[in-house]
Amino acid sequence: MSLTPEQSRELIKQIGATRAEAGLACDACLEQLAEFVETQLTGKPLTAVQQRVDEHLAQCVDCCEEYEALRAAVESIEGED
Amino acid sequence: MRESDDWIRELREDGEAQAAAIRDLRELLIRGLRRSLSGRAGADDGFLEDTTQEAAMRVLEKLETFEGRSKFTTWAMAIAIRLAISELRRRHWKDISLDAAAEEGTFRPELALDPDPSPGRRAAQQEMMAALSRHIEEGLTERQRQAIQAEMAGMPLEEIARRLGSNLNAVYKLMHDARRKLRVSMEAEGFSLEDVATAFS
Repeated sequence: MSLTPEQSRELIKQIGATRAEAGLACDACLEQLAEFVETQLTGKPLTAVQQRVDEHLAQCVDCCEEYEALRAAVESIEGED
Repeated sequence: MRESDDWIRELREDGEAQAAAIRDLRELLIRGLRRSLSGRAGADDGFLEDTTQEAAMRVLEKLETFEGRSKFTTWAMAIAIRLAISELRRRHWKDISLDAAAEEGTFRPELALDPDPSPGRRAAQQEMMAALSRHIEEGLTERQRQAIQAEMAGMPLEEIARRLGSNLNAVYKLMHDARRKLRVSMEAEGFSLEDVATAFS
């Protein structure tokens, strides 16, 4: 088994997008996620810390998955209140 | 509709007020989980009920740590989502070793090529992919290579961390350093990010 062409291209894309510094760690990103989701939903500008969250989400598939799930959940509960 | 302060006050009380708040919290959490995990393998009604129960308990345990930086309901939902996704990942990957995932994520340069490119484009892609394959095999540590390949096969970082006896943050750093090493190696051979984007656009 090996990577599909799409996965291979995704790997190439990830390598190209890698920044010099690792930036925010996953734990720190997840710690900020609730606030970050609310800021995104209101369309307000990101704070400096939230900007770092945004950068981490662009590089971390797992944290991004969790952000999207939280966002969908919050939209759901806010929409039905 | 309760504000954050109302939630905190009522969840701290005894008796019927607390019971009602816990009931409402559970209803809210399961509603959010059901919507966000809809269609996801393993997220059946039984799983949602169990996760909601555990999430509600976790929220009560952590009540004093709520700082008000977000709404209480968002904060509580984040706890529930963390629990749910982590458990779904663990269950999905529980029988798959790191070696098996790394094998599935092996990079084969010929598969990254366009199926029908122009001769010049194909030559550029082949050269680039041969270099990347060489750097993956020779430039990374065994641990880095395994982690990169396992992640490309879809294994979540926390599952990679579990199998390496490490933690999430350390594996994220490991992956970042590996990708950074590959990028620097490619650039040292004269392949820029623009070259790669052009060759594979």
